[in-house]
Amino acid sequence: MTDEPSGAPTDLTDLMTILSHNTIDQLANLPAQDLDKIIAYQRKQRIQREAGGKTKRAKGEGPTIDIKALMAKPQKGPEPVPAQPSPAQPTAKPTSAPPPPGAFIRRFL
Amino acid sequence: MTDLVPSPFISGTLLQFAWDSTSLGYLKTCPRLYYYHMILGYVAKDESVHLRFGGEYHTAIHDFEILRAEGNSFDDALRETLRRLLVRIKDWDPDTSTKAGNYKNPRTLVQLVVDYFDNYRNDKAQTVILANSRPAVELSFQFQLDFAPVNHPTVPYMVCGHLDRVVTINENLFVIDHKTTTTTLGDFWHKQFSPSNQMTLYTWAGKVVMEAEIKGVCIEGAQIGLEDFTTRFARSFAYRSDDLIDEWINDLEWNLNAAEAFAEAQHWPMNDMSCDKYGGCRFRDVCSKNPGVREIYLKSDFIQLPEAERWNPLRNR
Repeated sequence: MTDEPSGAPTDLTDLMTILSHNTIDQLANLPAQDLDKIIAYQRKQRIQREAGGKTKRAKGEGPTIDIKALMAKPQKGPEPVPAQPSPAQPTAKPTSAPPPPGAFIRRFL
Repeated sequence: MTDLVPSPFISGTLLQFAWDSTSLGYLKTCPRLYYYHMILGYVAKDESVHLRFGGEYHTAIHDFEILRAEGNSFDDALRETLRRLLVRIKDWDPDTSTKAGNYKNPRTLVQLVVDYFDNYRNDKAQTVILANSRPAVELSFQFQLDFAPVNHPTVPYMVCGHLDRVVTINENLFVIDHKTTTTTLGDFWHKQFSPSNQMTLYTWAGKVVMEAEIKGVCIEGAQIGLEDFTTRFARSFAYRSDDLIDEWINDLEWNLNAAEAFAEAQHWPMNDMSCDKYGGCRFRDVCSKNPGVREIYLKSDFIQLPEAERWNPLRNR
């Protein structure tokens, strides 16, 4: 299963073509060989990604960050800032919707 | 979606009696969120993409487990699972210019499914086989509680849901729950499951359904990458003791009494401390508007589902 079968799909368009060009019945009876091609393609794509395609692209575009090392450590939040004294608050007033009668009363059967 | 399913609300009221972890989670997060989603039926325009993607992923895992339990080889089961998936998603065409559609579309779904089964090919977690020889996957549960709404004492509350899978890991039983995410499967992701409404409920439900000692929930996370589509997997374990479950059930009664009070008053207060959770509440922009104009924003930015299509804990998968 590691070798790419001949005629394997090469990009998104191919999968979408399989979906759009086949009827439900044709999809339901898709030969095992075609299904294997799709699976092999997904596996090949994964191997390519895991080989580090993204790492290559990031080179020279910014500072290098070791994501794995960062993920292994708990992240620190921002340094605490001393609280400022609060100004005097206005007195609370009742809202227009008083709590309903009987709320939060528990009844056991 | 339009099958006749009983309403989770007591007839003639806005009082929900059948609860699942999703609706209870809304209530606990913010009663106003619960009101908008569960009672009025508003959903974000891209919500259908997330639901479809998650649903197809679950169904694929379900299909695979059944095929394996029937004696099919790994390769045969994967092939047949993929075949069924392609049939189901033939006409699924999400808008890939949106963020949701860019992450979640037929291509990323097929990649995720193949990656998932390859990743767990030699897994130590073994699906439990039930007495009827079926694998313990997609187990739906519904059971009555021993308490009822204060003003409707003859209608006991119900708890409902679906367990993705029950497995043994090192001779211990766990419920497995599959989650897809676009965020990193790091420390923050792991910590969200303890405490967790869903994981405690699922541990409790697992004990009831399996009539066995369930240790907790094993969350299988699949992180979906955006550029050069990448999938990463991680497992997180959420253990629950009987004492923790008892405490949760006791709190459940208080939460449901609160839900009854909101329904009777027809007022679901806003919890403005939850608006920034989980990347920001979908209704945050609505709630930030003056009360008098919120309905305009709801109607323009959201879809109001007909009653038969709204989230319903009583609907079977």
